[in-house]
Amino acid sequence: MSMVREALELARKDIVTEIRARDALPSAIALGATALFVVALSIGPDVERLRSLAPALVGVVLAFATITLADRLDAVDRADDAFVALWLVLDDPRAILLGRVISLTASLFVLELGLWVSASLLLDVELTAATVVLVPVALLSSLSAASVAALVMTLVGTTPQRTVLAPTLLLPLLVPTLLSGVQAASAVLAGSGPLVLWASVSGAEALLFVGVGLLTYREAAKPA
Amino acid sequence: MSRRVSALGLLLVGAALVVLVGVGLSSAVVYYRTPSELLASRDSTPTRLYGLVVPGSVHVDAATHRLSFRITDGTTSIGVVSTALPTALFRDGVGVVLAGSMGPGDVFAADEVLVKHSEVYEAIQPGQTVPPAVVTSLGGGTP
Amino acid sequence: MIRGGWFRAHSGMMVAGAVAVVLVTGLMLVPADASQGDVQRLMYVHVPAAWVGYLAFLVVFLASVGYLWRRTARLDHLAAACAEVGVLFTAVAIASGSIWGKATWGKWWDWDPRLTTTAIMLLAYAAYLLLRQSIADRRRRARLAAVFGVLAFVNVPVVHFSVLWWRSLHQPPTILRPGDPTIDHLLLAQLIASVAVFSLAFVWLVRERVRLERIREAVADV
Repeated sequence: MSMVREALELARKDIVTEIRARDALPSAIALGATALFVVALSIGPDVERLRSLAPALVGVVLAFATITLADRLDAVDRADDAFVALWLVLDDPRAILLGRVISLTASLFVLELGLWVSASLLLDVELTAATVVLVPVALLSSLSAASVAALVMTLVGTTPQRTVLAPTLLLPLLVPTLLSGVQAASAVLAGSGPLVLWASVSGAEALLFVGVGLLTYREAAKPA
Repeated sequence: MSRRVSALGLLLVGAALVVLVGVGLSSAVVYYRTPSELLASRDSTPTRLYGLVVPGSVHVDAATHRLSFRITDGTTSIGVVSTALPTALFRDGVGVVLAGSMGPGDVFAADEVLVKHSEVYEAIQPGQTVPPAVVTSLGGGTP
Repeated sequence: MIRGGWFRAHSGMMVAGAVAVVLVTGLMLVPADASQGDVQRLMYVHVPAAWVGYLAFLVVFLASVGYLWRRTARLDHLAAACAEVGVLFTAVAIASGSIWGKATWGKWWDWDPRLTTTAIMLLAYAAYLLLRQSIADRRRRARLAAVFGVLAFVNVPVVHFSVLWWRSLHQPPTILRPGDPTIDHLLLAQLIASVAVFSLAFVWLVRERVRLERIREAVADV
């Protein structure tokens, strides 16, 4: 189980890095605040519409945060050949992938919870006892986005065009994650809808990409 | 160790497929509702409605460009008004998917009328012509 | 020159001729559909193009898995060639389907499962080509492209199911369904001929593209 321990240690390193450098999350928080604010101003007093737009806004911000955060953490690893050192030191380099999935999931999860609290303040989304279900839904969609992003970033991290390639390669793969996350959150807020179905889609996407990641990571990440 | 992790990877991929197929088989997916379902639910939120155009029910108000017709699912029929004009394939008996909501007096107000193409293809016979578009022939103008 | 050589040298002309023949019969000679009229003729381009697109992406996946397993440069060339041809044919399928959709459904685009899945596939394989473009080292490019070739393909069923559960407007399959196909036999024969000829064109294009890649690498090695 040394691999899991190593993965947790690497995830802790990622989170400490992000807390100290504040490289990626502030831009996502700024985008989130702007999105909620602009929508609230442009829609006006139509509470029903504001509430129904909230899941989609959270989805957009989540997609943006996934790309910037995954890119940033990967760039930190690549600097000073830290990645090559990690590759040589670890028992199984796949700990790097798992660690990245864990740290991305944790960061995106916290961000998403923050967005829901903001949405309740700015968009009149009512957070009641029933909407506690949003917590596991947010965790699932964060995990799903993280598992896709960690793997894709591994592929494009060494290319000179990483800033173009990262969103281009990520967005088609993030479609099920975004669709299921938004639909699940809508179902929770509406109090009805196929919640289990959408949660399962998020879960399936996470399982699939962690699974394929474990199978292909050594090919994708092997230092040149 | 390494092999066990790879086996875990395969297991996760398999589990993902099982979840997808399992959920797909167990959930009833509704693309649109039928007139019977919609009338029974008394729901006036935006929805999609599918039915066959009742022959002889299509009327076009040339002045306001409003199209009205009835659709049926075999047991129940609903009156529909629409400002959106469908394509030339719209005619008696054809299946249509409407997007809109139930308005007052149990009349469905459609924002969009899509002609749902059936999966039947037949060769045209010599001397036969493609049936004229109902909307055009009634003087409603081409869509 | 031996017969095989002549055959090979003129294979491109023959494939082009076959494509011309099915286009002429499909667009001019075969009778139109009784209810849709001439618009239905788009089917003879749309269906085979979509079929070739799906087939090409399947081969990209298989060749990618094969490359990761055996490390044969040939398989990498095959995956690259199929991705290029697949993107081209999928774009044709989407464009022709869109025109047909405007004429029959009444709109250019609908977020229907099959349309959305195909569009996402097109995006993913365009991204695949972009990834290849940006890596100079041959072996590294082959390895990373192979991993993404796998990712892009395993994503397809998840996209398809998630959009399927979201909404649908596309008609059920005409030929690939139990029982007698609900299509006139003459129209069906034309459709089958189109699919066969497009598949032939696919094989020819991929073979030539793989050959070109091999020559290019040989020249680069000199």
